[in-house]
Amino acid sequence: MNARGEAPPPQLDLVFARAPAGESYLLRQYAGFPFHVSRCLQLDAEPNGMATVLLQSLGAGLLQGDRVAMAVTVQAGAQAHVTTQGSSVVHSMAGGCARQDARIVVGEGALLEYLPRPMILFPRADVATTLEIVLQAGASVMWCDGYLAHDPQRAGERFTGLSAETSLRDGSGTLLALDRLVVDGAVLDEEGVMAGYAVHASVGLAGPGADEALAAGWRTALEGIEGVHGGVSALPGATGLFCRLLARDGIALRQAMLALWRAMRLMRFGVEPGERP
Amino acid sequence: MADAVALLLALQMGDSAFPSGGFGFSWGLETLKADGLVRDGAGVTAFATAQLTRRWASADRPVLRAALAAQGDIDSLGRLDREVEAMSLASEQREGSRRLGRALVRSHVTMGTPGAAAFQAAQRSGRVLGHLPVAQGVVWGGAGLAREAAEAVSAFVVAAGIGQAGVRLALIGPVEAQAMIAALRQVIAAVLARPCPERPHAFVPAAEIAVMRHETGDARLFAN
Repeated sequence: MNARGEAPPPQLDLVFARAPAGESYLLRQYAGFPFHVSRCLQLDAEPNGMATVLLQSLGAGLLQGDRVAMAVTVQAGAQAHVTTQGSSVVHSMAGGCARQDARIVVGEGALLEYLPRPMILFPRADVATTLEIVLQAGASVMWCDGYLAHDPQRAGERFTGLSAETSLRDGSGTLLALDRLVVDGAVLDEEGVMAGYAVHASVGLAGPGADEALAAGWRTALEGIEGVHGGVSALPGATGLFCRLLARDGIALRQAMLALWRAMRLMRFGVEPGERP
Repeated sequence: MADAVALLLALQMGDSAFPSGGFGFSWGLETLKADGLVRDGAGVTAFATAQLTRRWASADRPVLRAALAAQGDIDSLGRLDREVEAMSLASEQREGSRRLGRALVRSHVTMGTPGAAAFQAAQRSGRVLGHLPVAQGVVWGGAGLAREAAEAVSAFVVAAGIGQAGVRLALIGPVEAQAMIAALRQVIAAVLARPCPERPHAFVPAAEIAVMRHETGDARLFAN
């Protein structure tokens, strides 16, 4: 907030559009520190014309007092895949906190896959994240958020606080789904909460085709991934699917995320995504 | 004498024999047992503690408190209800909460509790969904239960319900379950001594995953 109580403009502002020939492209991009945006890639034959963008961070991660905001808009009919090159590290803090806010608008009939790598919470890290998703009529979105604690000194220290909120609204502003958690690092040691797992994550899918058949595909995709425990259910009002994941470590979580993404692509577009560099 | 009346009212609202249908729900415990993640009384206690401290304290409690304060204001109750619905990301969790809320309201309509009939009418017309903590706030407020007592009864109902489910699942003996509920008194008291969060939030991933897995699991003694 500035002195007048207004939120600063986002450091990252991406707008995807659909060209008349059907190919999606970056109509507008603004990337201030710490963001760097890769060139717009066309990696898969299906979905036809989807634009892929890799977000890179030029910073060392989130530090005390940081406030990072991003906005991603996918205009009507466009298709985009946005991911990050690596995990965001949230560093140790001494009494303060950091904040990351993301706002996503998916236009009519558009598709967005917003699949960033998980956040890594260092000892005494304190961070608040929000992910606001607005879904217009006929639009689809797949999103995820994940968090894992890392204690490089192995001193048994935990993060101080994590506040994370993901909201999904339709174009009229009606709240469709809300995932809000506020925890301290002690939660990781609570058997009744984490069941012995170290990492947690959420994956959502909303829009056409996010139905019971896809839920069954997701459940099958998770079977047999060692070190992963997950559940899949329908979102309120049958607007989509929600998957909660617990994982032994970041590697197991990555396998689960990729399995869900591949299953979604296979069921919705008939082919799995190709290998990524 | 007034204290005795208030105490008797709280005892009745928290009585497991009160027809609210709570015995049919395990809130994930049945699947946690099937998945081998809860095997004994210690596991049931850990599950109950998580439900009280990481869900009830931060999600049900502020909703119950807001519903108590919104007596008769159907629009406010409807907004509250829709937020509970949006935050219930496992379908058997939200169906269970709505079913229990409806059953609780139905009993109070029959008993003539002030406000219950109007809330049931709003439910039937679709203005409210009637999730459990919202319904508890409406009918317990209508019955004259004070806020502190309503919160204590609501938390106690969670603990007692998990104890019952644990006994039916043969995870814990009946007397052991009572010892667990007795020990949870301190957990509940500590939660009630803390400030109530303004915005509901929850974090019980293991239980939530279990409720989700229950949809397709073989264990079907309970509705979730």
